[in-house]
Amino acid sequence: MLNRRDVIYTYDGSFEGLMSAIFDCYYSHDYPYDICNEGNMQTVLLCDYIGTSADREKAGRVMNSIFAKISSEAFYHIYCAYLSETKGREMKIFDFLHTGYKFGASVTNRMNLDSVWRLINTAKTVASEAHLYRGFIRFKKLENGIYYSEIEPKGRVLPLISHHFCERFSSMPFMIHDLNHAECLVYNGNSVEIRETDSVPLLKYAEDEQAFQEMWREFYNTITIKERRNEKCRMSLLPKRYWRCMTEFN
Amino acid sequence: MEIKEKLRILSDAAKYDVACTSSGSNRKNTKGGIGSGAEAGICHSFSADGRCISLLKILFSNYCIYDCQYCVNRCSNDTERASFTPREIADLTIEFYKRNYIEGLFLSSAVIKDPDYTTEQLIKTIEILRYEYRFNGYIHAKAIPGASKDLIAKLGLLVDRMSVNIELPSQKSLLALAPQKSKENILNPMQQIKNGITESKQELAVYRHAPKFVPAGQSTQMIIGATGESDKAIINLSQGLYKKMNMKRVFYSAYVPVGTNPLLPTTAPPLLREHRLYQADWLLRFYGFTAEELLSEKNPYFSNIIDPKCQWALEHLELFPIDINRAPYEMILRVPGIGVRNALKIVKARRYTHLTFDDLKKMRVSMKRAKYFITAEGKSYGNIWLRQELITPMLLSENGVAGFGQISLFDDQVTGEDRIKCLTGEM
Repeated sequence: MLNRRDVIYTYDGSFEGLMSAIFDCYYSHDYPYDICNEGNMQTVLLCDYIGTSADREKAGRVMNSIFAKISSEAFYHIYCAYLSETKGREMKIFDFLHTGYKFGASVTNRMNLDSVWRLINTAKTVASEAHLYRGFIRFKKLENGIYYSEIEPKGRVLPLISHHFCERFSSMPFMIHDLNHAECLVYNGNSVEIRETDSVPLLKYAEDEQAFQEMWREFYNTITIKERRNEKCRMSLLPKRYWRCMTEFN
Repeated sequence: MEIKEKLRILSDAAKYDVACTSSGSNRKNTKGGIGSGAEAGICHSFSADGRCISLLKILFSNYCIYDCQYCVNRCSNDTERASFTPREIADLTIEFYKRNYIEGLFLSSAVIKDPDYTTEQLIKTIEILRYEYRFNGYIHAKAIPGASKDLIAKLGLLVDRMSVNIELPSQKSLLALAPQKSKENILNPMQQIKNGITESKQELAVYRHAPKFVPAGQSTQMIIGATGESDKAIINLSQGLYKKMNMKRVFYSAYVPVGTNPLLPTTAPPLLREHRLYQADWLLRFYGFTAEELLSEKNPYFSNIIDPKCQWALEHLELFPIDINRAPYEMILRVPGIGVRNALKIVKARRYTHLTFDDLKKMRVSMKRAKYFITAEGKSYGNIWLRQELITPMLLSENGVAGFGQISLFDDQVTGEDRIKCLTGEM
């Protein structure tokens, strides 16, 4: 049994940190009022604060328990929800886990429960954004043969798309720069890592890059059937927030 | 001629081909190779007409020896002509692919010299991609009607999807508008591809590394509104193709006036009709409907104002309302407004609890249309009284189609046609 208390747990913002915080909640039998990122926290009156630190062993135990007692599908939803960077995602994850430990693997089918649909809907926004970026990312060839691309996603999609691109372009070095979250996925032909960045590097494009961009724009414009123009339809399938980073609209 | 110029001419000539799907293939990347297939397919962009761009859709050449009246590339038409070389297409595909512009290649061609020569050129192009560049991305190739069996078999082993266009929905129309193409020329390669796919699947079950023949299946397309076939005839034909030819997809393309033949219409493309056919097509493939259920001899066209599923439900009110907690999955699928995903969600969740309308809302099941046809725990939604003459106007007013003022059910000329098109999205 967890006791509902007016207590707020804080963590360092990493996934490991969040899992450790959840471990500490269960360890001290607390159902917290909130779990907050230390970085952007607002003090609430009449609440106690408990700081937690990321601990590999604690996080590992929570993750293992999710796989063992709930399901890997549930873990995927939790991870996606964590990446969504939305407000209140930590408590959604906590509520979901609490329900999950009660019902086991069937929890992901019980979409009528508040804790379940709230989490799964949050997770889906990130997962579907990641799916769209699989298509909407545009690489530009740099002078040194690296393919570079910029994106501006709402959630942190890089961990979700990394496998797709590394498999597809297994022998081609590329970088995907997430400007909104100052992260960069770097693949050198062998190994992949996500680095933190602070600024946009000075870019020198390869000589033939401009020519291919023009050809692509030419193709994009000619493939439209003028008699069937439907801006509204395009807008709903390819919202304008993606346009800034796409070659065909520059 | 510069390659950019060729690209402009030959993509312009290919734009009337509808198929731009990249689903169904899960080809893996090989060591040192480039590319992979994504089972669900990936859209890389959307053009201003709202259609998905997923493949580099081009013709190999538009120097055609045929004179099909509905086609822009007919030899009697005065249009710019160009031809690629196999090397040019392969290079362009790889460069576009590396920049993640596209998911793969859609290669079709006008008939140069004869069908065999054309097919050989297509094979040459794809061989460069597959063997030289070790390209494992998606390739969709057109089988040219009349090409020899050996060549089609060879092409099938290289590509992910193949298609033979049925072009027009009846033999009569084909005879009138495309006299050089015969029914046999179209159906024979289709049959051959179907048999090839079946054989390949059997071999794969025995030998894991057996070569895959057209792993993403075959598709076809037909032009709507150029000739006088009814919706019923078209949907019946599609059903036949799905059943007998194991088609993955049948595409419909509203006829855009490009011809000058007096037999052809010159009006704007019938987009709404095309949309209704797609809706019906989905009902055939995913919802367990048959063509005979959707349209009858008395009523061979789909309604302009409501979708085929609603139309069917209103004609079969004796089956409704259904209890969301008890009705079989097949019946839930037939409720207007509930799709495959929502039906699955409902069936999964109701194993654990009695669902109420509130639960359905939480599960993001749209109640707009469904509320007239379902009950939960013995109650209807907001005590709606089920009567056909009431439901139809209510449905329409909520769709925003009829707008203000008196609604006339018998008026086929809906002024809000454009608004429907915008509402429905994908064409």
